[in-house]
Amino acid sequence: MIAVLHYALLKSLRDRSLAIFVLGPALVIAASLFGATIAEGGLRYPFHVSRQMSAAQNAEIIALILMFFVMMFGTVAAFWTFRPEVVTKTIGSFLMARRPLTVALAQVTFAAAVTFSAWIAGILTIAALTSALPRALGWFALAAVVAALAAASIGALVLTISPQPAMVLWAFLGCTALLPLLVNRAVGPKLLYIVPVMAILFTAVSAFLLERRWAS
Amino acid sequence: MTEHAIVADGLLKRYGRVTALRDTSFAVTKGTITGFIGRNGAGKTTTLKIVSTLLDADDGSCRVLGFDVHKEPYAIRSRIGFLPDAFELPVTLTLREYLGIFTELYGIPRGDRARRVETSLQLTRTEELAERRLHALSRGEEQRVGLARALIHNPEILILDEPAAGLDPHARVELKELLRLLRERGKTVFLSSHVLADLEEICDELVVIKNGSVIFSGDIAGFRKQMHSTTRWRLSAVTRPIPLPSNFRGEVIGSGPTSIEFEGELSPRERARWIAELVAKGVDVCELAPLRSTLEQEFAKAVEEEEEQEVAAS
Repeated sequence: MIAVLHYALLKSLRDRSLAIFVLGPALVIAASLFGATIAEGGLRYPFHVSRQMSAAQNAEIIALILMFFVMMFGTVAAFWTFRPEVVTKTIGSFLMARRPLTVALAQVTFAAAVTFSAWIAGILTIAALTSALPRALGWFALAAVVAALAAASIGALVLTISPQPAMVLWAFLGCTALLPLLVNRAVGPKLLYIVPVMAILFTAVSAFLLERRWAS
Repeated sequence: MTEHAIVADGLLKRYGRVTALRDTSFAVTKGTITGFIGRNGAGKTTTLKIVSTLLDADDGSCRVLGFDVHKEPYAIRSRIGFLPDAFELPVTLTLREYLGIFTELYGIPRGDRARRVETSLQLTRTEELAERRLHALSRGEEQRVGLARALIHNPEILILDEPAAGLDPHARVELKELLRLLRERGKTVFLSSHVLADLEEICDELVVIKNGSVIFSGDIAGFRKQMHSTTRWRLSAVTRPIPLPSNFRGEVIGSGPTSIEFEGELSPRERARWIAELVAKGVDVCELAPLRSTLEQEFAKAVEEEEEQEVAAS
């Protein structure tokens, strides 16, 4: 699995997609905070969404928005990184050397790691711009790990179903439906168990489809 | 006793209503270069995919190095190098990085990886590409890079789907040299190709497939024998027309003012007698040379004969 991760890392560093996936959500958050602050009456530090709320409350609202973008970018990372290999069936050369499950697992692990890194970059950006961290940061971090796993496995599954670029929309829809449940503190804890099981299942199906796609 | 690297027996493969392979049986001897010939759509790629464990046959069996393709695919994959007809390379990586990744993928011990990469580069003469990113490569360079990757884990069998397609004459010569070198090192090479002249030069054995059925499997001499090939001859004089001898056994294919071409088996004694006879008649004979039919002609003949038999049967 390390070899596939090494390949993905090297490739995404070279084509600069890694920088976009990791820093993209943070940049979106920074841009939206910047716009909201100006709209609220002028560019003044710390940035905020609403002047009526405390810095921590502002940070919490922005952290929720960050989670959405992190999932979107994570889905694209899972879909995009190995898309050329799936389209051209070059993934077959990996499958000659390693079992399909190992390749699929590496694909999901890479995208999940990228997604969680994007969340960390986003939270640091929020902290820097709002001068506060959201309350219950631990809960947010846990939700981010689960969101990263979900986004990565959904993106990988959709890619193996069809590598057509429009297919990523289905992954977006899946993540968008999952997100409100994930950040809801009444429902979220149950998802901490369900999502990993779902990710394992999706990874197994991806592995099966990878082999089928290559042979076709 | 002949040891076989690949043994296929009664393979059947259907894609919906289309039967791609029917009762396909053949064997590939270890340490040989075996050519796989057939027209487009004859079932070559399907067969290669089954042999490479990428595709399951609907019926029949196939063993590669003694392992069953259906039951033990991973044991086979680690022992073969497969180069498909079309493949892409990661354009942002250098060749050395690319091969390095595959040494990791194949689980080659860390200490051996650099040496294995060097060996692969040297074998495929891609040393000059080692530090270059894999973009803007010529077709010949791409093919050599693909081969370097297929050889990285030192496989026992190399399976190549149309490796000569799109290569210029120089690159084809290089490919043939490489395949000969691999045979010298004890590797088995099973390759499909449309360039039959190249196959004739390097192959020890042939598998000929038509409409999903193998119509021949064996050495090239055996194929010629099966086709009842007779040698074509050309007899030329400098200035005089050539009269046929009284006891001529053969068929005249063509003639010119001072030459004739004919098919037939002539023993050295018969040749000597005929030349002496012509010289005695004052014919200034300058050449009596055999013109062997090419593999391409033999293949066309084989396919035609099969088609005639099918028409007769129906």
